Amino acid sequence: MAKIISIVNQKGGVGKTTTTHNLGYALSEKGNKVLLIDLDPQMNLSATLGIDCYAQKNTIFDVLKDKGLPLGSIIKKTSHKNLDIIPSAFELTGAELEFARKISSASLLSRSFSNSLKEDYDFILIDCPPSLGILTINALSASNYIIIPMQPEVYGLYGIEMLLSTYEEVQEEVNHDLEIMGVLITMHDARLSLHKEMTEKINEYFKKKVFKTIIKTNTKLKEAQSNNQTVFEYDGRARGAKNYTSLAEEVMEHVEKEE
Amino acid sequence: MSKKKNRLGSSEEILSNIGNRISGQKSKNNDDEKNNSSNKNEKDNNKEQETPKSDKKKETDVLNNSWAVDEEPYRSSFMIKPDMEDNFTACKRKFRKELRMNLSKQNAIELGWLLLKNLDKEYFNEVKRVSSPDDDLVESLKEIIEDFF
Repeated sequence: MAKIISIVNQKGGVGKTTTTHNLGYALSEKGNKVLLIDLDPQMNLSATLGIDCYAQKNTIFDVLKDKGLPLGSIIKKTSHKNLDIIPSAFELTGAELEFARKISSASLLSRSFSNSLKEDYDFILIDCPPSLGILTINALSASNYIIIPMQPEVYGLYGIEMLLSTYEEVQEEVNHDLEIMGVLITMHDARLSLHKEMTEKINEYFKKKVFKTIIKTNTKLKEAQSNNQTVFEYDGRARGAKNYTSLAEEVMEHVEKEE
Repeated sequence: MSKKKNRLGSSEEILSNIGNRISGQKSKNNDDEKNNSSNKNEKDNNKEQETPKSDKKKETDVLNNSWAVDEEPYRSSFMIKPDMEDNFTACKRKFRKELRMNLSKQNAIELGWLLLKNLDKEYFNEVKRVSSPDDDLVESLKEIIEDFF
């Protein structure tokens, strides 16, 4: 049965999409069947995987709106055999209005997951939009775990405080089993004393809720994006590739322990 | 003597708060939680049943705003939204001013959507036509909105 993991942080530019893409690829390279879901209306993950979101007949927006359309029908294959994607849709920009923020709208995504779909995959990774709106709430309601990418800087901390409030609200009202798998430190620049000190403190205070793996700044990660590739495809020897392989191992270890 | 710089400032206090909240997540009693939440759900259901009655008068007032009639009031940190629901026309100027300010991307997208929803479908189709997944949606929305005004 698939483990559903939301990559979430309402702050933009912290590496959610990069993490979803590269972690998904790394997990699939380790023999797992992985489904990525692009819930971000900016459609970056879908575009990186070569999907033309405007050309889709049925989209994730239609699934959320119309209960009769199965989620499985909008899955797209990628060039990698163990990696599939559900693309984003332009219409998701209006999700706040279409699906007013109330409890009954919080489970639209989780209700669309069939058991057979969950049986088909080992991991389902959801790339959340940079907000704490209804799409993020739907992602959290449907997930077993959340991963919170954050830069080791003070603005990132303010965002996490707000995210925790939403997490606690969803856990209490809709999804009692939701668990924080960990905070993932991203874009870490070892040359900066601030990053070093902040990372030490994050480890001290978050204890087991922070991943041992740190995603360090690596130009290959950005270059890979420019080429619509994961860092593994672009340069498998890059530090970014090693970091995401290590993260995939930690994620698998965490899930195995829980089982 | 050199004094060590305090690079983290107030961050340590925030980190401590977050650490406590994250670490405490599993210590809750699940049964209590379920009971509380089922009570809460009951209350919410009652509230949902009561709200339409008290809001009936308000709903008839906004019948002309077709999109607003069926929508439950939704929460937002952005002040303009409730205003827009009640009186869209009066908010146009405020909206225009806000657009020039440093809005967050998500707020700008949501505001742009709200405005377009109130306008004509052709404006929305125009955004779809001129923008691609790689474009900055906010910029596209702004251009269309500024053209309209």
